[in-house]
Amino acid sequence: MKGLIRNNLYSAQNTLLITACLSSVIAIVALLECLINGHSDSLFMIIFFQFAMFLGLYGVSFQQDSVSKWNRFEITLPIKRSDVVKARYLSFLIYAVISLVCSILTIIVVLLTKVPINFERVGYSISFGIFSQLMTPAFMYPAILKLGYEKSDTIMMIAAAGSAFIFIFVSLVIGPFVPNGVDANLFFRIFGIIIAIIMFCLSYFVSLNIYRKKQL
Amino acid sequence: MKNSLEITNLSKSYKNSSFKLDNVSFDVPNGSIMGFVGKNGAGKTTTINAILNIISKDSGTVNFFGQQLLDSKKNIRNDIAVVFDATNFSGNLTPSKLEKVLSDIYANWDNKKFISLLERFDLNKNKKIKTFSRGMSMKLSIAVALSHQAKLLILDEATAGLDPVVREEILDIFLEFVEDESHSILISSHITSDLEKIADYITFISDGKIILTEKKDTLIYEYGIARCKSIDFENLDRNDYISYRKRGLQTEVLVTDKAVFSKKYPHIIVDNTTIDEILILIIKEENM
Repeated sequence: MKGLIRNNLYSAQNTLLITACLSSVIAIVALLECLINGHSDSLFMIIFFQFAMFLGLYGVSFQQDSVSKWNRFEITLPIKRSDVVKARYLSFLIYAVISLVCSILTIIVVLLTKVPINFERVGYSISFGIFSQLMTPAFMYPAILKLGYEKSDTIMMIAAAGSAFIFIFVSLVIGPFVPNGVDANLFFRIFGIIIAIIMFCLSYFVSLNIYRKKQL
Repeated sequence: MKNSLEITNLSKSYKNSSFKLDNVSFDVPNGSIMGFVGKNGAGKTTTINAILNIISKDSGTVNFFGQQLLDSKKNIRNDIAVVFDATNFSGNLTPSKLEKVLSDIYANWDNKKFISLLERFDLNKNKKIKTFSRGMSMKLSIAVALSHQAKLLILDEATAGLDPVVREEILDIFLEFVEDESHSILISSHITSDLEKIADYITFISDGKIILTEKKDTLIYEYGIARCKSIDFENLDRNDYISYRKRGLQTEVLVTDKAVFSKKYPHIIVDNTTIDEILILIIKEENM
């Protein structure tokens, strides 16, 4: 399975590097804002964009696989079909961790300038980032398995938009369910992340079921 | 003689297509090269996909080294190498990175062998695969196939689109591979001249049905084409030929034993034949 994860990462390597570079450029914008204006008002937006940029990675390895027809060859390798699906979800988690690390590094850089940070808004961006990094592949991968690798771009965009919609929807409807005395924002963020983790796990089993029956 | 691959009554149909594999059966004996021949759309790739579990089969059994290829049996797949008609590796990879990927997957990956094959094929291990020509890509696929101590090579149109020099080079490698008598090759191709050079057996498929499996030498040295006038053809015993086609005023008749045929019909000319001609004759609509 290590080889499969390695293949997924190599396939997305160029895009990963470009995304990391763009993410660094945006982080510099945040730094300049702190140094020039003495505040970090746009930090939450910058973190939001950083996460959004990393979503593009999810579609890239599928495009590569579609072009090379790797998935047809992959099935002839000494691996189980479940290993292919597992490797995909572990790759998604690796992308999610990389995007989270980039955002945390940006926050650390801003913290070093000793400019005050609005943690409430930044926390919202980070929770949205984690939510979307888990929810987007959770929708995307089973759909790609069902509808075909060649539609991965469209499916990825719909999945990303769908996960953003769900995040906003949950934030609107969760109010009455917040227990008394609990910070509503914190409750919503934790609840959202738990939902995303559950969906990610469920998605794995759905994908496994589809892939086991899939004719490549 | 033991078989590396045994296919028995393999059937596969599709909902939205009239095409089906119809009880496909043939074996690939150890130490041999089996050529798998048929026109485009005859069912060669479908058969290969079905035996490799890339597509599900409706019925029939496929045994590799005496065992069924189930999803859980990873060990059998270590002994099988597959080369499709195009390279199936991400263009962003280099052979060097590909080696890292596959060495984590194949239990018996032989890095020294892989590097030596890359050198033999003159492939730069640090060049991206997307920059490779078709010939280079196919050489890379073959280098991969030969680098994990596989016992059975399955090649689906692996020599299609290659120039004669590269094809010759690749065919030599296949012959080297079967020098070890525990090794065997199933090679599908419509370039029958390649198969005439290397195959021990030929299986003909047409419209999803196996028409004939025969030793190549028998096909080349014993089969023949009798060229008859219409009146001669009408006088032939049906048991003395397997198929025919009309070409102008002449009727070409495929016979299984040209010596016996010539003895019985001394006035009819019987020529040597090629796999191409046999293929054309046995799939012609005029077949009986």
